Order: sequence, then structure tokens, then C-alpha cells
Amino acid sequence: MARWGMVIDLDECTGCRSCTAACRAENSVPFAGPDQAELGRAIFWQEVLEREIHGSYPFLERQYVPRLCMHCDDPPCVKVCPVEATYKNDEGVVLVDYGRCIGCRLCATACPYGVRYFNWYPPEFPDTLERAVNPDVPTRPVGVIEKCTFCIHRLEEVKARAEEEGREVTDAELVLLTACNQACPASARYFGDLEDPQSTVARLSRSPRAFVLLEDLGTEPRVFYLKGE
Amino acid sequence: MTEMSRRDFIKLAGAGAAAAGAAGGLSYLGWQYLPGHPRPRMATLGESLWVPTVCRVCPAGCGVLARVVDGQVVKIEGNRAHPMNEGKPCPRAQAATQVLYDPDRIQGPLRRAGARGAGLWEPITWEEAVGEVVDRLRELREQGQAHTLLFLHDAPPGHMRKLIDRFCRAYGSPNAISTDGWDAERMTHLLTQGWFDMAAHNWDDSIYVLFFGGAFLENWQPQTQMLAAYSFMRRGRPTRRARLIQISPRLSVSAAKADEWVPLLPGREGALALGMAHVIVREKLYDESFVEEHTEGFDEFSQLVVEEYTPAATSGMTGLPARTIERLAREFAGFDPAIAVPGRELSTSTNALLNRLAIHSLNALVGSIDVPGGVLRPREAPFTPWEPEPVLEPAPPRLDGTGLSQRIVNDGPYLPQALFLHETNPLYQGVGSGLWRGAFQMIPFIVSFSSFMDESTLHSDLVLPNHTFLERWVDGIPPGGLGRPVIGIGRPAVSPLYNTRHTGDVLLELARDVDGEMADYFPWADFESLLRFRMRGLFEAGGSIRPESDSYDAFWRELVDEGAWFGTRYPFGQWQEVLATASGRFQFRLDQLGDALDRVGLRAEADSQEKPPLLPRYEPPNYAGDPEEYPLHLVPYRVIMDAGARAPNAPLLWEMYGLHIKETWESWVELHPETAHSLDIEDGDYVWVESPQGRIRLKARLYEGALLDVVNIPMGGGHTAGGRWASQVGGGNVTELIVPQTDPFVGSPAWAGTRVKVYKE
Repeated sequence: MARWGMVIDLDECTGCRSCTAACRAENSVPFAGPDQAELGRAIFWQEVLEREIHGSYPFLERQYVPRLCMHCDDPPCVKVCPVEATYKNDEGVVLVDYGRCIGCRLCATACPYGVRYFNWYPPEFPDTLERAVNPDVPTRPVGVIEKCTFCIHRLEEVKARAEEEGREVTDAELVLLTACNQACPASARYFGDLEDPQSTVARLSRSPRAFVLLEDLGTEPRVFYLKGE
Repeated sequence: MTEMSRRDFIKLAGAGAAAAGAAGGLSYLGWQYLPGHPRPRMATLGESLWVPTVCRVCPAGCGVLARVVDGQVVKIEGNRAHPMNEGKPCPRAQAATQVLYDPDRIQGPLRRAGARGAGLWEPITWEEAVGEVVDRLRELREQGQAHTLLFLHDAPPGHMRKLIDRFCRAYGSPNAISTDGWDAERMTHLLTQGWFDMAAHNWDDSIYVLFFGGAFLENWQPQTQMLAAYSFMRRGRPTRRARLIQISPRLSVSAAKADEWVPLLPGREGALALGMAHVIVREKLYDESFVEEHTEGFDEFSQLVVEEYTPAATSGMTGLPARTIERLAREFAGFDPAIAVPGRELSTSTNALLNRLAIHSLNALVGSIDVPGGVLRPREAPFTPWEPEPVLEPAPPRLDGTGLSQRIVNDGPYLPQALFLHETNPLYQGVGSGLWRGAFQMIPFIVSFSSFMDESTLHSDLVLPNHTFLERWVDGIPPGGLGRPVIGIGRPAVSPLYNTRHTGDVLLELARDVDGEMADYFPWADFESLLRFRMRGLFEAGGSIRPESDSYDAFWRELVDEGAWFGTRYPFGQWQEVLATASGRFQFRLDQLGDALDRVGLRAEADSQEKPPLLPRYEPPNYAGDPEEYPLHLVPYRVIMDAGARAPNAPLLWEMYGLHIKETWESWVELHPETAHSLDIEDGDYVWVESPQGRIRLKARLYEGALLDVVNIPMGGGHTAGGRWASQVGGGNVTELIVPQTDPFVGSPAWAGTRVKVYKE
């Protein structure tokens, strides 16, 4: 059984936020508009955070960290969901069943990475903007939580094709599978099967530069970062 | 990873869609819908198409694929067949669907039906619209006023730009004027190397890069190439990690990602470069064989820098420690190849050309000209010549580059009798936008070809709206680019949504209708035929596309299917091309400045008293505003999400505008905490920023990466038109603060040459 994971090389990342734009376009995330954005209700499954390392002149250091759902092996969000709407699938992808979700937002509180987003209003693509909504990914209704799915619709497509052709999914098909990885101008992001020791992500996750966010919480993230220099 | 051709990619995508369809929808997700919530359409077998085209949201001209489902463009992805961006889009490109489907686009030709700017319009037919413009053009020509047509545009390099130039010359006007702001860079190369173009770079081999000003990861052109190059220079060559230095007035993302940030006020880069040249000459660190074989005026240049630009002297001019200048010089000369790169951005000053000349002379000192990893001369693709070329004889004086608004208002050589606007919005983005408002009032006839009701279009008399790029034939030559010739090409991804027309087609029709003499220069039925005519040269020259059959039709089909053509390698060592000066050498000595300015028609009469310098020298920049009254220095800058006049109304970009510092939908002003506290300003307070030119109200953000006594303001806020989302963007328009001043040699605006004061409401 595959165990999907991602590796992001912070040394290569340029902080350009092409991943953020691609994620929104691929996953039919509506924009919030100035008023809702001001209230912190804009949804970005894949955001790039600015992290201050040294803050005073002239020893200024800033780091840019693309942050998405960590698809934890031991996800705190799943434990707190009272209706089993959020779950980890067989291959380790943390998902939300929008039909079961009652919008209590316990999971959003439990998630230490802040990557679960509540739909405060119905998805709205005014007028002709509706035409650019990705037909492969349904929008989410008001009142439910949504989050990164590791572009599971793309993953399932690739798996279905491989099955049809009677072969295994290849590493080459997977590395740029997600919309964020595909759009990364710096090619700083990798996706794949962590269970396969030969895969790009498995190899990189063993790098001495590799680390995970908030390791001490024991959530066992499946998104690894490679340190900058 | 194995390489996948574009065709394989399309097959793959098609197969994927089929598989999903066969699986009976997306049941594996466990996604369900609440009653009453509309179930979206699902992609089904065979409907997904990827149409290759050229992104025209910014001037870079990346190759992109428009994903078309059911006749709608649902996503923009990168085109792997384009050698510049190699399958990657930047965030701006991905907003293109919101440009196409912008509900506030102009839907057909309009005639003003009230006072200018009142927003009262009367829809007219294309026959009427074209007829009115033709009447006006004929009238001007008959009155001997053809030269007073001013065609202001920001058409990126490519055939729209070439067509606009040709149109104006054939009509009789020298005034096809671009607002791209890159003339100082082009002029630097004309003076030193004999060609008027931007430089190309081959980053794959650069191991030490000094970026003087600007922000290479946020405001470079072409941006995607630079982003990929950054990653490659970091980790693409395991044993040769590049060292990158960003010299800039604020800690930008680029400065943070560089190995070293050298804080420096705009306009002082030249002093730093000359100080470094002093060290390189004094310590004999220069490339003797290059200097000997390929340069002219080295002795005079070295004498000048040794005498006048000591580390102590340039330390005084720049405010940097002398030891930093010495260290940078030794590093620069010690790494091979090292390259000095002036930024391609706003923060130019009244001494922009001189600074660039000083910076570029560093490249000649270390021999980083036309070597792998150095400065390359971009080669144009071998297009079929479109003889005869219209020539203006005698050439009337130009209205001049970007100091234009001043010259219109202050009695320039003549008043424009007609103004055409294409992909530019001077009332919003022109320096001293107040001056532009005055200029608009003086011009009797204004035509806008914009797709959007932006500030300038709102003040026009006639609107002949263009298709957006996803609805039209496009091409694009990356500015600077790769060195070897590259051209991207694209067909319409979808049929036009509204009653708009390709501005290229409209110009061809205007040319045919004005008179027979003009028509002779434009034998093409439409822009597509023009492209098809010009690209035949590529077929004959060889290059990246080799069709199976030997016909041009087959080549053309293949070209449109691939979306790009490129030369296979850069021809190193063609010195007669690279050093095309009269001497055949790199000119340290600038004795041809006057001639060069005349040659490209950039010198304005009023400016010609300025005595051209004989050598690159440092002239302190002029900062407008009394330092007593206006104690702070204004630095406007551009964030990566700012797409300017080509995508003013894309909510995706505004919501990501300053996302990394949690600012969206609003521009802000950055202040150093100490500066802020001395003014009793807290983070998040609303403040006025005032210059001798005007004042705007902005949210203050305290930022340690700002210099003391400097305020940084991003471009893009404070729109008053452009569409429902553009108008909702808060903050203020920084160009309203900028005192109009220009570089005396090339007329480029001094964006960062203004002082301001900041106070609470």
C-alpha cells in the first residue's frame, strides 16, 4: 500500500507563490473578497508563510515556508471529529467527507498547522468567473471544513490509468502530480510514495537536510522540508 | 525524470479524464452534496483540450497551455515545449482565466456620450468605430499633422509591438512610444556594445551574481526563467553553488533569499560599481586579455576610477563601509564567471543611465561578456523581412520617452492631436499622474484599445476593445531572454466572448482605409496572416521544429501545435555581432553618446544642452523635496502579484497581493520600527504619506527590513477604475507621490527620486 508524501526544498523555493495560485485554480477555491479576507476567512490550502529568523538590522534573516496540510500519520484533527467526517484514507491522505461534516470546527482548533479552513459563506464565482471553475473538483458548500487533498482527483486518475495499462504507477508520474508541484517554477517540490524506498520523496526524506514542522508534537507529518543553507 | 513531449502530456491528460469518467464520477472521494447545493459539471471523456499559447499577462511571454473543457478555459498551466519557462507558470499567468472571464470587461466598441471620465457611453458598431478613427487619421494627414499621432503602448516584444511601430512610421509619426521603462538598459548596451536591446543571460553557468537594485525574484523579466535559474544556481550543480548578492533599499523576498543583502538607497549603485572598479584596477584583478583585445578606453577609465573612486570616496557616496566595497570587488573578480546585473525595475533615478554604464563596465573588466554565464546579446529569430520598411524622411522630432507628460503639458515640440492607448494606463501608472490628467485634457482625440475600463480608458473618446490573449492570435519574444532566438506563438484558445476585435486586425484595417500608400505596407488580411508570413523565415532557417513533410503548411501547423520555436544553441564568439560598435570593441569611453541618442531618436531637444560624459561617472541622484520638510526617502516597488494594466481586475492576484505579510486587497507603507516610533506610529495605524506632488493614505506596517528614514510602498493600490475588484483595492496609488523627474539622457522616470513625510491622521 502506498503512503503518499511530499518534500519541499526550502533552499530552492523562491517564495513566489505560484503554488498558492495553482492550488486555488485547480481545487475550485473561491476568492473571499476584501471584507471576508480582512476577517481572515480567505481560504488557501497552500500558503507561503514568511518566517522571521533574525529580526534586527543588520542581521536580518527571513525564510519562506510553503505550508499545506501535513497529512499526518497521527492526525489530531481526525481524533477530535465527533462525526467521523474527517478521516485518513488507506494511503495516508487526510480527507473530509463534506456530507458528514457538521461544521463544528473542532478539527480546525486541533490542527497545530492551521491548515483547515471553514466555509463561512457559499462558494461564489460571480457572473462569468464561474466558467473557469475546474470541473474535476466540486466546490464545497457553506458550513463545512475543507483542506488540501494532495490533489487526490489527479492521483486517482494516474492510478486508474496505470491499472488500465496493467502496470504500477511510476515515480516520474508522481513527482509533479499535484497542482502546486506542477506549477513550481523553481522545481522545489516533490510528491510520491514514501513506502517505496527508491522513490524521489523517500530518498529526499532521508536527507540530512530533512525535517518536519513541529516534530515534537508527534503528529508524524508526511510533508518533509529540506533546510536551506 | 523522463522528458514528456507536449503530445504525450495531452494524451496522458485525455486518458486520465477517460479513466475518471469510466470510474463513474468521483465516488472514491466520498464527496457528497447538501440538498440544494448545485452539483458542478464533471469533465468527461474527450472534452479536455490543452491549447498552447503565450501568456500576455506580463511582458515575459511564457509558453502556457490553456485547459479548455466544454469550450471554457478552466486553467492555465505551463508549456514544456517553450524553452524559457519549461512548463512552469508564475502566479500572474494563473490569473489569466480571471482576465478572460472578467465580468467587467468592455463588451463592444463605445463612443463617449458625456464629459470625459463621466462613464457615459454609447455602444456603436465596429464600422462606426473604425470609420471615426479613419476620418480622424485622414484629416490629420491632410493637415500635415500626421507626426502628432501619439501611440502610447506597453506592447511586449513581439509582433504587436512591431506592428504598432510600423503602423506609426507608415502613417508618418515617430511617436510609437513604449512605457516599458527599459530604455536605459537598451541604451547602455548601445553605447558600450553597439546594439539597442536588453541583455540576455545564461544563468546556468553563472556562479557569482551581483544584482544592483530591483528584486530578482519578484520583479525580473522574464520572471519564470529567473525563478528556475535561482533554484538551479542553488542546487542544480552540486559542486558549484552560486553566490548571489542583492543590492537594494529594502529586504525584499529576493534580498532574503540571496546570500547577502547590501542595503543601498536607489541612485547610488553607480558609486558602488565605480568603487569596485577602483579596487579591481588597483589590484590588477581584471581580465587582461579581454581588456586588451576587446575594449576601448580602458586607460582613461582606469585612471578615472583610480583617482576619483577610492573605497573611501565611494564609501562617502554610498554610505557603505569601504571594507564592504573592497570585499565585493575582490569577490567579484575572484569568481569566474561573475556577473553584474542592474535590476529591471522601477527604482531608477535621475542618474539611471550613468549608473547602468558604471555597473556594466564591471562586466567588461572581468571579461563576462559573451561567455557562458556572462552577458549575452539576444539574437532575433530569422523572421521573413517585411519589405519595404516604411521610413520617415525627414524624421520629425519625437515627443520623447517617458518624460512625456511633462513635455505635453510644458510646451513640447508640438501637441499630440491624437492619442492611441494600448495595454498601458498612464492616468494610473504614469509618474506624476496629475500631469497626465493635464495632458489628457489638452489632447483632442483619445482612442483606447483596452479590454478593461481602466482609468485612462474611462477618459477616452472612443473605445475599440481588444480580445484578451486567450481569444486571439498572439506571439511573444522574451525580453532579454535566453540569447538564442526564441519566439512563442499561440492561437485563440476559445472564441471571443464579446463583440471585441484583435487590435492587430483593427490596425491592419485602419491602415488599409487611410489611403492606398499606407495600405501597401500592410498586405495582410489579419494578424494571423501577418504571423504566418513572418514565420516562414523560421522554417527556412531550421531550428527546433523540423516538420515531417517539407511544406511550410506542415511547419506552421507544427509551430502552432508546439507553441514555440527556438534556435538550438547560442553562437558564442561572434564578436562583430556582440561588439557592434564603430571600434568593434567594448566602449569604456562614451564619446558616441550624443550620436547614439540621436540614432534611436530618444534625445529630446530640451535635454540636449546636457553635456554627454566621456566616461562612466557618478552623478549624485537628485532627490526631489526639501529634506527639512520631507525627511524620508520614498521607494516604490513592485510585488510579484502586480500585473499592471493587463490584469487589473483579477481577484486571485489581489487576494495574494501581500499575502506573505498578511496584507491582501490593500497597499501599505513599510516603515522601520525606529522611524515609526519617532513619529508615534504603531503597526496597523493609518497614516498620510505626503510629497511635494501629493498625498495618499495608507496602512503603516512596521518592518525591520526597511532602512531608517526610508518608506517603501508597493505599486498597485488605489485604483479608481478597472472593474469591480480593482476599484475595491484599498490603500493609495504611489505614483501620485512621485515628483516627475527624468534621466536627462534617456528620459526614463526617476521612480525613486522623491522625498516624503509621514504623519498620522
